[in-house]
Amino acid sequence: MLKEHMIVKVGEILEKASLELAESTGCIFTIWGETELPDCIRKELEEKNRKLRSRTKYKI
Amino acid sequence: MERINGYLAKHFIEKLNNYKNYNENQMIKITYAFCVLAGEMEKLLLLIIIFSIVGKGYAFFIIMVALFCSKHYVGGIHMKTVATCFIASLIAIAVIIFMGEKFIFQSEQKMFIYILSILLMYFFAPMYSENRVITNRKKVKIKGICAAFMMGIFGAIVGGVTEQYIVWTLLLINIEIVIGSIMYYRKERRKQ
Repeated sequence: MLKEHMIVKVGEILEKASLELAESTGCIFTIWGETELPDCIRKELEEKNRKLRSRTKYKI
Repeated sequence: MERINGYLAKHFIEKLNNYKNYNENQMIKITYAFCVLAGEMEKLLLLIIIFSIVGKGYAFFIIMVALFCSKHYVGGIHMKTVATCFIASLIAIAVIIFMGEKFIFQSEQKMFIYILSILLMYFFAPMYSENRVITNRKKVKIKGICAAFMMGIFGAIVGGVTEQYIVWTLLLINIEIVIGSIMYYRKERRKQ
């Protein structure tokens, strides 16, 4: 039961971390590498960008 | 290395699917995060072992902190595979250690490099990469400038060879920003 809970928790953390990692070229410590960005993450981040920009426009 | 990490990620997701159903997008995200973190751990561990064996553990630690504070925000030139990234990181850190111990910067030169780092960060950070989507460029730029500034203060307080490592790291990043920008603009011109 604990093992199942831990595995599911790690899965959730990895899913959330994927967006953060995508904002740092998929590279944290060893800084001369990058990982190819999957299309689904790219689209999600670009959509997030678009929404942020449109919110900023309306604030002004 | 990518194949091994991919295989491990696939194995992890199979286990995960036993307990919870994930759609395709979620599985891709988990695979991506798993592969990135596994690759990073592998490279970092190898570098720690290598530099500890040659007695440069402290220098390695200082340079990694300096790199994390600068290149992490700026971006720049990147390798495509785990192995080439590892080799590039190994060579770059070895060069910084060597130069930091052999060629000592004077106060005016150090000040020039610190100011140049902040200026280059202001104008070029974060640099474009096709594998990086940044949602808030201004935030990344400000973080990078603050980090470079703090490193300068830390280096000035500590002094000695620690400061030399930091200055050489910043100089390397500055050179990389210039080369990376030239490569990027050439690529853009070729597209047009």
